[in-house]
Amino acid sequence: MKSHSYILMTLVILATSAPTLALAQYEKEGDQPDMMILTIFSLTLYITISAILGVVGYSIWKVIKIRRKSAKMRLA
Amino acid sequence: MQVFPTSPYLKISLLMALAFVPTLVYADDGRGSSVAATLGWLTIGCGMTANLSLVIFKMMKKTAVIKLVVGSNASQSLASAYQQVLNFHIMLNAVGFFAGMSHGFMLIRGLDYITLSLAIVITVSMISGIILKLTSGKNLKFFSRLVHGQAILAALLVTLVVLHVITRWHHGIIMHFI
Repeated sequence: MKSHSYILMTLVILATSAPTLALAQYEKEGDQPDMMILTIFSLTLYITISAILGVVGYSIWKVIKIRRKSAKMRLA
Repeated sequence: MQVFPTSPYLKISLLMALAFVPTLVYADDGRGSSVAATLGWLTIGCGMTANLSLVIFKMMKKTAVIKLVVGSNASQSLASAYQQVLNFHIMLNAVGFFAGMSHGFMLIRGLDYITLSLAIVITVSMISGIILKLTSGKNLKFFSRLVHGQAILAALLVTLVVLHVITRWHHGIIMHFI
C-alpha cells in the first residue's frame, strides 16, 4: 500500500472516531450536549469533506499520471 | 445458467417496477410509523441490496475465471448477465438515492453534522456513478471509475450510515417506529 492510501485511511479513521468520541462524551455528560460534543461532531463533516477532496485529488493525479505516461510512450 | 429473463420487455418491466418501491413506505401498518423514517430504512435496504448484489456477482465472476471450474458456458452466461446486474445496481441505487433525499428533506429540522456528511458522501457517489455511466470521454470515465470505486469512500459511507442510525436512535426520533 502506498503513502497516499495511508493518508486516505487515516482520514477515514479520523472521520469514524470523531463521532464515536462525541457519543461517548454525550453519554458521560447526560442529556444536555455541550460545546465540546458539538465541536467533535462538526469535525466529522470537515474530515468527510477532506476525505472526499483527497479521493478526488488522488483520482485527478492518477489520470494526469497516465496521460503523461501515454504521451511519453507516443513520443518515444 | 439462466439468471435473468431473456425477453427485453420483461426486463424493462421488472426494472420499471423498481421505481414503485418507495410507495411501500406509505403502507399503513397500524403502528403509527412515520413515512419519513420508513423512507430512511428503505434507502438503507435499497443501498444494501444494490451494492451487495453487484459485489457478490463480481466475486462469483472472479471465482469462475480463476478456478475455471465450470467451463466456458457458465463464464459466458455470467459475462452476459453483467449488464443486467449493473442495470439493477443503477436502478436500485437511484431509487435509494431519491428515497434518501426525500427522507432528508422531510426531516431537515433534525439535520446534524453526521447526516450532512452522509448526504455529501451519497451525492458524490451518485454523481460519479452517473458520470461513469453516461460519459464517453476516456479521461473522465477513468476519473469517475476511480472515484466511484474507492473502497475508502464505501467504508466512509457504511460508517456514516451506522452512526446516523445510532445518533438518530439516541435522539429518540425513530424510537416510536420500533
